[in-house]
Amino acid sequence: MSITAEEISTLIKQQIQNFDSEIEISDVGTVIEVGDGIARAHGLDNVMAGELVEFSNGVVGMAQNLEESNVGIVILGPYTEIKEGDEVRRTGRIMQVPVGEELIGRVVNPLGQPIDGKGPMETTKTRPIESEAPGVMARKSVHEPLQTGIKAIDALVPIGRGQRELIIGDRQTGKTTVAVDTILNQADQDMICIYVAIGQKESTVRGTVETFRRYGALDYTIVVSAGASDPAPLLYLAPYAGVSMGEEFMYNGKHVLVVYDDLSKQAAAYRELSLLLRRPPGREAFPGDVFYLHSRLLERAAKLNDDLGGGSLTALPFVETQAGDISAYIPTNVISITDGQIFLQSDLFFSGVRPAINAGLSVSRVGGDAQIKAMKKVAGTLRLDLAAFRELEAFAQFGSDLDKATQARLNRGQRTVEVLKQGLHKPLVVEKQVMILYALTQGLLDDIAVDDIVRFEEEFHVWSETNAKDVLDTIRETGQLADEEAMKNAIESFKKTFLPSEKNA
Amino acid sequence: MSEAVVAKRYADALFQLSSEKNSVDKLVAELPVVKEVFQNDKKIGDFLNHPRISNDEKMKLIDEAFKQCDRDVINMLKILVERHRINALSEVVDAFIEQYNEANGIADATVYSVRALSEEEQAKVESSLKAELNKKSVSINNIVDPSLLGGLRIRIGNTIYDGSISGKLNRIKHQIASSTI
Repeated sequence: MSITAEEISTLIKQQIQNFDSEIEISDVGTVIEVGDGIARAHGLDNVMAGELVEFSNGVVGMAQNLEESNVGIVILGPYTEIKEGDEVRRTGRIMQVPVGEELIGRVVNPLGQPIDGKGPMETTKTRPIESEAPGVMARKSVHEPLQTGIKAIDALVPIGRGQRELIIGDRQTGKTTVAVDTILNQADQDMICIYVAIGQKESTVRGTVETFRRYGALDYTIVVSAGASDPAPLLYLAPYAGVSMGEEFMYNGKHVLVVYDDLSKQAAAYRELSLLLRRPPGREAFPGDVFYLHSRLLERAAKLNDDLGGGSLTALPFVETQAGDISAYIPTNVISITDGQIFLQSDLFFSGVRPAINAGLSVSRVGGDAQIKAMKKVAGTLRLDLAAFRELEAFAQFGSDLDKATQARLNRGQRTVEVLKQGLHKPLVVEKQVMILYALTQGLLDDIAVDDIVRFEEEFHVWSETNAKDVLDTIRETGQLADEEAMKNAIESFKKTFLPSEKNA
Repeated sequence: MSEAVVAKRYADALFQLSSEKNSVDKLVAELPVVKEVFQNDKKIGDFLNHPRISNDEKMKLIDEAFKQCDRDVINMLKILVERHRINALSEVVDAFIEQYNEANGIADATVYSVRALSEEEQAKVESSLKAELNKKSVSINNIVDPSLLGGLRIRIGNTIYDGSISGKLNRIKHQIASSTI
């Protein structure tokens, strides 16, 4: 867009001509105390909770505590220039963020300002960051699958569009990787993804954005980042900003995936804020409304009914545990709010099972309806098999004399674990997942050495793209299993061409 | 409980008592003087707060010092001392005056202007404010502030009525800076 200087001056001329010269009436207050990003102001008579107020140097704040004689304000910006005695002015607005298509592909802060150096955004619409969640009648049950492209998730803990699935685990267990791979897999799924990074190192966020860009995922992704050096109010607001941007798309009938990475940091930021505002601390020094903090956020994830356009907003909140303790305050809260959780375990991670999903502790409360039929068939018994294997595995370590049935079950279990392993940034389309799981559950992999399974799978997928295209096409298009004979044939004929590794031969 | 809440309760009680006795106007004149005494002389506060001085002595001092005042004012001071609330005195007085103004439709307005307003102009401002705010009388405190450039800026309580040239220029600046072309 190019504008000549002349056009600008005509525009300004119009604005000056039409300028409303009425008297401006504003409610003001006086700062009586300021520090640590919090200000207290006397006056501000009719201020609303959550209303934006403006300090005399132009910095904005948000009114939080409304008390008899003063108002507690969190300052959203540099607070070093604010002094005692400064004037605070009501703005009459509540906090809003810009929304719309223009944000896609951008990295923004929780106020919606770009921080990726790609220039200003030409957004026209805004939404308040706190808004009511869709009600009972506005919703529809979750029935469409969200393909994460991760075998262990799509088969064992399937996620539906509009669901809230918690991803929980210690640090360094691959939580972010699960989210990044899921976003990478949405390329052809007609999804808009929003990645909200809360309190992460700027370098980590940069790395994640770079991954998105390299795999072409930035074309349908918005990154909202509140870095570790940003003040606590911004960390607290970031998830709400992210979900508001997502809601705009949802109400326009689109499908949205929002990842909150991670909510424990947001809760910590909120704790900091609340303590500075002198709200009474409760368990683990969190304020009393920390449950509501997360429940009102996650309740905004929804699958809308057809009258409202049938859009959906899927939430993938993250919670970081300390040494696997899921009974701490924030993890138990978020577990009870969400529709299931994916539990990542560090000992699995270090024993080479990646993604390190603990199938026993992970559940999806609505996802079963959101699996394609073919996947439901092949994955039906997988969870039980895996559980039985884990039990036997511990038992079998004591002795070597095992009967045939037990031996067979152990063999199958080892292969199952191998098949569920998956490389970094290698999401797999659902039809290929179905094929390899079919091979596994039908026992067609039992004569492949355990060490060869990963290589077998890789080569099989490449081979089937050209040689079993019709089978893959049927699964993808109908959602049903293809003709059993055809599937078995395809697997058997690939097995004939597969060369086992030398040491196993 | 914060001082402000406490002060309101005491002021409320005093106001009710004095309206029953029809002595409100007298108290309104006396209380600011009492407040000034406490503000100007910190020692009196220290004395009344001192734990080693007996209550009898404190009461005696109050009787002596404020003997021209209304009986109710003296009694209230004594109650405040007895309950260790004497530090809230200035808030009590402010709350009392506020309540009096509210009940009698009086408002205080601070008017900022580029030059001192003439009697006539002040009367005009007063009459228009009376109509606007629905008050019986508006007392005007005129402050000269050349940075306004022109027009008037009126502050009543926590509300500002900005009709100054500098305020308007500022608003034009904001509008142009934030408008989307």
